[in-house]
Amino acid sequence: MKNSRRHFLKHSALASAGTMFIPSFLHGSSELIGAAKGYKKVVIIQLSGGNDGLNTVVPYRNDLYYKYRPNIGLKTSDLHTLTDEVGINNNLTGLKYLYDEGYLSIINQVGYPNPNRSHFRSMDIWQTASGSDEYLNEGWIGRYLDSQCSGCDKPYHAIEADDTLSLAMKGKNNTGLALTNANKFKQMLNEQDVHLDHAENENLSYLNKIYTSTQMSAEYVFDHSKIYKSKKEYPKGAFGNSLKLIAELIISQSETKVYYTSLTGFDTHVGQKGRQARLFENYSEGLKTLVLDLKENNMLDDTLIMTFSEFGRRVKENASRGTDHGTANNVFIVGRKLKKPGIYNAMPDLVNLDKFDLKYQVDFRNIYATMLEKWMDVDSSKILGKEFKPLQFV
Amino acid sequence: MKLDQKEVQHLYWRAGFGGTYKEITKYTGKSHQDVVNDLSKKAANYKPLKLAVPIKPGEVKMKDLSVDERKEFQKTNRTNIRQLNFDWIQLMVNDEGALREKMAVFWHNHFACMSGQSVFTINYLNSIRKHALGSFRDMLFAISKEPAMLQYLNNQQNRKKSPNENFAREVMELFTLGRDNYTEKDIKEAARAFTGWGFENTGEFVFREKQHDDESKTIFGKTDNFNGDDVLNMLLENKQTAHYLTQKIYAYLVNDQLDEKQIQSLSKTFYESDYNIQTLLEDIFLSKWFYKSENIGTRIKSPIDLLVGIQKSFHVKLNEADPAIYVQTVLGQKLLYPPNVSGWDEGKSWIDSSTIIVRSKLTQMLLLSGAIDILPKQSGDDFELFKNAKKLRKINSQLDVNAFKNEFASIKNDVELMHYMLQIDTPKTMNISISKEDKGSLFRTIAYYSQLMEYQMC
Repeated sequence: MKNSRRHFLKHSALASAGTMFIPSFLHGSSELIGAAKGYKKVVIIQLSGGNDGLNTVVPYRNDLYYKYRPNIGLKTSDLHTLTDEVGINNNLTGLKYLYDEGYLSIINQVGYPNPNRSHFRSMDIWQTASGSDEYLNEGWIGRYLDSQCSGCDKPYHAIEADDTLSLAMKGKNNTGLALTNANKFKQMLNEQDVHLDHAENENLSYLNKIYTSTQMSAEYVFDHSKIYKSKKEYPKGAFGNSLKLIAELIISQSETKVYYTSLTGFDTHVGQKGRQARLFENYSEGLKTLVLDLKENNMLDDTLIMTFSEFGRRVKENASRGTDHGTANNVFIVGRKLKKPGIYNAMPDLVNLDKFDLKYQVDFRNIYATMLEKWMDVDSSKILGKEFKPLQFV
Repeated sequence: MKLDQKEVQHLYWRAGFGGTYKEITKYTGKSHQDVVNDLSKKAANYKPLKLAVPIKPGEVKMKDLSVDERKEFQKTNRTNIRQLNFDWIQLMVNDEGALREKMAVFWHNHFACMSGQSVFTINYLNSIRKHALGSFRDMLFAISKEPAMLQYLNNQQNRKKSPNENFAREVMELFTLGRDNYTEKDIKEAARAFTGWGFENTGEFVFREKQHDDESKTIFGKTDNFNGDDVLNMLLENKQTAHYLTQKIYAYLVNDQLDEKQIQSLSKTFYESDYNIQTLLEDIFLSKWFYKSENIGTRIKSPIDLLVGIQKSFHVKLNEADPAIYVQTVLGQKLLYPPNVSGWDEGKSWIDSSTIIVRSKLTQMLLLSGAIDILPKQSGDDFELFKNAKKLRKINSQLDVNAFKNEFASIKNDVELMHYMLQIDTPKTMNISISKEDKGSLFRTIAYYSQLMEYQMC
């Protein structure tokens, strides 16, 4: 990776702007060479709109399931069966493959106390890792960047494959990077003139800092995006492209700890079956392609992929062959170093409901804590605000 | 005290959304009393905003509607609220009473609230605009009884037998005292005092006596059978409320680095005036310290400051609601759709690696009616999808060429323009003259300064 280091120095915004001095916050920057083997990273996939978890992972032997869902309930012919009790929606063929390979852990009944059924609010809760009664302005990955652990203080340490940045990626003093195309992103930034001589004006200095570090990161990402070009065929569209970008950056050994992307459209109040099918195909084919891409390039061992949605949906179907906003949901963990591949914990309890909604059994912040502690090797309590006991999936 | 150009601009940015070049030139050299009086006078008149599609409150009963009619009704409400957002923004651009709207944005953030009912939304917004420069006491009582707020904070569900604490908590934490100035018991007991506060479908506040808990409560150490009004009065009686509000207003209008001594003194007068907002504002704008260099150019423009400021300064107008909402979404401040009850976090929170790019290009985009190659986040809510996201990227705007040329006719070179556009001087000037012969020179110079980080400050 020596070549890329030279490249980076030569092309970095700071090096090229001759008159500019390098501000202190960029001193002692981390290794400029690529991420070595053993450099652990996570990919987070957000299913926006509230995916119906009960028609994703299906308790096909449970009569109550069919009682609550006489029209949209999935029969065994609509499923890939995983166990004697559990099947997954048969549009999740890619996910079935990952399950068979032992690369998938399904965590059921994930949620938080006093669940909120608003998309906006519940998404903020997941993204800021807050309780449902507190309002935080920083995202959990942003706080990870803020914690300034070695290798988590540059914008490119957390990349969102999108045009704009999610709250999850914004910290108090650091933010991640949002881009969909490394070349386009670099173009948007390269003409800008930045001055760094306003030390007395804290807010202006902050703007300059963010601009300069974004510029530098854009160069960094652009350089890395050229090293490996994937030949795999990802699903067409924004989501497939975002996974391809992520794969290319990982395989090019970009020093990025967190990648973030989302797929939207899961708000299935009406005509759920067909719509969820199309989304699932896109999701699971994309995910499988990503995993194979990483595996063939020896990068799967160092990558953990988590999929979540802001809430699950109501147990009982509605009158429009859809479902309304609900509560607890399943979370998927994909990787090759799973401690307990398969179905991690019990399926949702359809007997003891809370006003027709599922009761959560696993707090999502325990999942975050697991990833932070056991995978990223950092103290999660500083980032999550308090202690959450890690689970055993890695 | 005579104001120089930078000081006039400072006042215009903080008490509004910036002034036009001619306004600034006109007031340069005038005393600060004269300029402040003038701004106050222009803002004195309150004119309510109206809904684009009038809806008679209570006329439509959801349960009487078919599924399709219900959808149609919800769509009308959404269109109304989006249009209201746009109308409000245009009012900020066009109306001379900018100080009222500037403060209304502050109060909208303070009393952050949203509703799917456009009638509730407009009543709430007009209530905030009406009281924006008046008495905070009146505003607190009015907003606490607005259906939009009671609905947003679930007070309709706050009943004698099953109290809902949401409203009682936020009224203390966010609207009056600020965090850590009350106990959990105060909230529990106050929630009981607010039981029975609700609203009718017609958009009227209603006190439902049957649902009200008339037993005695102990709040802030006092015991009586308090009602909701009593609690609001107790909150206003507490000097901490004046202090908390003054801190927030100081951060909004002066500096996010708080000067506790100045705040103490302001807050005392504010309290003694029985929460007269105009008094507090004049106290700030007529002080000497407000114009000190450490307060000038230190504020990061909010997305609204930026969006309104550009339109105002350069005589360019957005043509319709969609692009205006699109810009607000991308920049992270969509009026009438606050992220949650605590509103938007000001200052550095506006800034991240993507908003900073859009910000630095926004002026050019508006002037050129250009496109921003960035798609806003989709919330996932089916009703909120940007169905024509591609179309929205084109910022449909109209430049009034004559007004634009006329405005800057007296400008001779880029340094003069820089002094108008930037509150913080930049060392990187271009040393070019601006002339009528070189038609592009004015445009290029504006484009150049507008992309600098200094332009993001006010």
